[in-house]
Amino acid sequence: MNSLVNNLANRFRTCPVTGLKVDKSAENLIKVNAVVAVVCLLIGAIAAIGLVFTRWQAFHILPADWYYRFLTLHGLNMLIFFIIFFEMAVLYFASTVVLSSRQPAPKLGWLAFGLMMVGMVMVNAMVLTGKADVLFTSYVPLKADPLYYLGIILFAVGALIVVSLFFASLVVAKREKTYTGSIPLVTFGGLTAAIIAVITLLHGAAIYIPTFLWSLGLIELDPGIYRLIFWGLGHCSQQINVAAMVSIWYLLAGLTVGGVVLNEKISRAAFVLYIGFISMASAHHLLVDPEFGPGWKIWNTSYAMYLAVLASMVHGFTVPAGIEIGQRLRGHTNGLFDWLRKAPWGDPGFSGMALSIVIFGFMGGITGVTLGTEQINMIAHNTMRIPGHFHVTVVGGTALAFMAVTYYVLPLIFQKRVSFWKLAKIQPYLFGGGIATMAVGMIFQGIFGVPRRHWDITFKNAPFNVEFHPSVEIFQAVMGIGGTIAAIGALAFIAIAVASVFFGKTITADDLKNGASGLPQGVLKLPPQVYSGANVAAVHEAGAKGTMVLVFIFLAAFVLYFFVNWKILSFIWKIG
Amino acid sequence: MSEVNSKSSSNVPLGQRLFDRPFLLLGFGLVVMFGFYTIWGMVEILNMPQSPLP
Ligand code: HEM
Ligand SMILES: [Cu+2]
Repeated sequence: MNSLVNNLANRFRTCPVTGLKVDKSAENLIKVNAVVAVVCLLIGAIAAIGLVFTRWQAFHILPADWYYRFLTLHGLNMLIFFIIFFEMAVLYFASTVVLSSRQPAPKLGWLAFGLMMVGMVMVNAMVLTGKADVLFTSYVPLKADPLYYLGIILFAVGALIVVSLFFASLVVAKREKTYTGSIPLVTFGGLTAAIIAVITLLHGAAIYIPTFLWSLGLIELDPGIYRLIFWGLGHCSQQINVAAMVSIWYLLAGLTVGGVVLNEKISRAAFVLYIGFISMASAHHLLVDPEFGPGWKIWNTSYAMYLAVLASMVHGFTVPAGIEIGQRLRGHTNGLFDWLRKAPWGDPGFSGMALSIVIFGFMGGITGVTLGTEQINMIAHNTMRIPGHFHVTVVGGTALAFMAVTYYVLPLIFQKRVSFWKLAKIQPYLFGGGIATMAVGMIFQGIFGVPRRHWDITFKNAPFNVEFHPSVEIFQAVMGIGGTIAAIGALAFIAIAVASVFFGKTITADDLKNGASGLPQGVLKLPPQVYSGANVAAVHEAGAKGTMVLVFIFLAAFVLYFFVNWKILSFIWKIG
Repeated sequence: MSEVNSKSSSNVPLGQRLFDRPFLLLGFGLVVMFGFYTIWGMVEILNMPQSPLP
């Protein structure tokens, strides 16, 4: 018994910056999952370069089969492997570390990691050997080698184990009273992500097990049913990302500038709206499928789903407003935007978070709500507007937020100084700026009707002739240049992360005292997480005026974009 | 499992007590999604009339 107690006591270290007690066995799981995530990001980024210079017809470098192989490789390694491995790290962090609790079953965590690794390697091997040119959606009746589906199933089982461990940690932390009252907001966001992950993985099991059997020739599978259940997986997994990203926004706002949570009740209610109503938006992938009636389509993608949009708008307001109040409490009270001017823009943790909020909220939110409207979807479905939209949500939003938090994870979890610090300071701008530019290029091509997932839009050697508006060439160049900058930003991130983890200097107490390079300002001097003093009441009384101005700019842009789209629809779809 | 400590939590507002129950929230998410999207969607597919084409 005594050795058990000793063992447990040795498992923890106390973080010198935040004072949290960290279970080392959870910490190791965070490390391996994050490292593998970065490796997958590398594979995806290499594929991305091939895609950009193929879609840009002036270069058109890949042959048709390799274009589709790279598209499959890119979709899987970015959207599935990079993002989900990273989310596993986020779930371990949000449960055990934030709650100062122990990881209830580290061995199971390693088993899950092993399953996910085997699955990931199997899938990539099948794709690279040309046995799975099915894109990440693998729509039936496109058929891949059975091992491809088996690999996905193993990966998903591993992920389900990690999600279960998250719930187990909550139970254990509560029973062992490592926290009092309700769980912290960041953990509540993690809980939201975990719940949506359960919804996602149940649909995953419901579709990939039959598809595996179908690929073995054992059963038949209806393409319509496949699409319905697949998108229960494919869309909901994006909402795990949204919940994880928003949690990271709250976390980084606190760590970088002492951002406050304006109102716990409202933020938590917004997360609960996600739990209830964000998953059903899966139906927006099926808006042109004939087997569903308008009742099902419009209920799932409009009326009910707008509750989730409301939640996003709540977070999109409360996070910047919390940052504004935090900055004002720290003394930056002049005018409307002094708090923004005086923000730590040279801290990649802050700049990455800020760009993620702007790109996700302004560009992603506005395009998403518009594309998900059934009527407008008619002129946008399967055009380049779709990759344009999701590269500002899952890439400019989620992936960038993951990168930003890495600049705090490296010192706080890996206990390393960030390598190539000068490069790190500009990396979020390269990646965020590049992605936003690429997305604009894609969206405008889409408005002129250019399809997504298409190898050659000049239709060379085709028996018919399709001509696009000449300005499409310009937007291809915008996409190409933005994509190149983004890919450089991604490669820079990978170089920084790998160099810091494997060759970085371990942090010493002196580093913290002397302000050594490679440490973000929030780590050097953690901003106050709770405020007291004379000006608190005055600041709260004055409110977040700057954010209010930004909110009205956002709403105006939203209304404008929405109505322009109805106008375009009315040109194309003439009635009477 | 979450109703432990209910004596001391009698002055905790109802909303907070509901939000403090992870498995209740999980159930809520599952019911809404499977009810409106998955099951209703399956019903739509299965009720599709046969094509009159030859
Ligand atoms: C590194 C910067 C990136 C660049 C330059 C880039 C570029 C591209 C391009 C050119 C396409 C092809 C569009 C088409 O032909 O239809 C594409 C597709 C896609 N990208 Fe990216 N991307 C990047 C990062 C990411 C990341 C980080 C993610 C996810 C987290 C992602 C997710 C996807 C997905 C899901 C597709 C669609 C695949 C399909 O249609 O099957 N991308 N990307
Ligand atoms: Cu979706």
